[in-house]
Amino acid sequence: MTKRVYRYFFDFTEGQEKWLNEMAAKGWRLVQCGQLTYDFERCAPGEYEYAVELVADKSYAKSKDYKAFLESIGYKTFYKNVNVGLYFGTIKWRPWGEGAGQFATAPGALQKELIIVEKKKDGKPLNFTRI
Amino acid sequence: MTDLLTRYSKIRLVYFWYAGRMFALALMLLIFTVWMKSVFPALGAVLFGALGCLWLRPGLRTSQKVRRLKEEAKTNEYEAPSMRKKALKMIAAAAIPVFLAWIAYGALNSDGLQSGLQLDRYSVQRMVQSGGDNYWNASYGKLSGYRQRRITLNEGTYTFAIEITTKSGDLNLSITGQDGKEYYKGSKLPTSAFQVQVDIPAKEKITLRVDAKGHSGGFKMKWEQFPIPGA
Repeated sequence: MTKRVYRYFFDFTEGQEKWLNEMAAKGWRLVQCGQLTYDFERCAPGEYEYAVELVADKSYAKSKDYKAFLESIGYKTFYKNVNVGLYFGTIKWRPWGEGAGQFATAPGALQKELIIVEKKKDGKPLNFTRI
Repeated sequence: MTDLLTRYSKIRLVYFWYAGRMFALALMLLIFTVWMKSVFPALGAVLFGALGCLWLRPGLRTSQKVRRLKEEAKTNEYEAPSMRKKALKMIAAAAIPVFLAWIAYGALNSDGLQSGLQLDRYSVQRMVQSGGDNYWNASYGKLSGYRQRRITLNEGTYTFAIEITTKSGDLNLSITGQDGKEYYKGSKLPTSAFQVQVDIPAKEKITLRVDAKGHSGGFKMKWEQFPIPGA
């Protein structure tokens, strides 16, 4: 059983993280996300937990590396956007970026500002960058 | 701790950036509202202002966290890297060239041979306007206030062909030189077409000004040097 939820989070880190964890607690596991959509499938309540990481400060190459690293240690990850719209051939300046991360392009890092990290709840905290 | 502080500082900057963009748009639309006296930009301003607030709220919450973490860092004698300084530096680096380009553009336009700056205070309904190197036309439902155009003319005799259409209201027109010398002044002009000859002794900035009071109609002005040099 799957369901699609349409939603946009202005509070895109903590608000989104909290909502995804609430959905997981109700037995909904994220399987896919679009610009304004979240697709869920049924799972055991509280089986998974989520964290939302801002990667908008990183270059696209670095954010892909980071995503691959998270997947290599067993987490499932999804890119998520902050900007909504259709972008192609666009370059945006991001003052919070570092190095090449100061510019986001589409196709590229634009609309991939966040990474949603999913982890099976095993009692260990999901605090990979918060040490 | 350092990771956490840097992370939240960046998140705060992202929130404030998005909120700031929305507030800037809202401000721009507010200016348009006052300028155009229309309700549509006002609605846009309200919408963008609300969007700004929606981003500002989590930004302020994150800001509190950053402050708390900074205090904790201070007690641990750690000096946090300042994202605010970095952001201000970057904004200044981007804003200064834009500001200078704007000033240069304004200066070039005011000194350009026959183009000019417009310094106006008016309200208008349904206006169609066109202006070029040697003409200025406008047609409108209702105009109140004043509009002016500054042009630079070289030495010589110029003919101003003027056409006025007055359906209702009053329209005054003046052609004034740089030192305040009045070449032409017409008050409460009716529907008419006439010519004004102006002798310019030396290269000079001329101000064409229309003062309207509930004026409905339009005006056309065209100026040419007479005789045309080299003809």
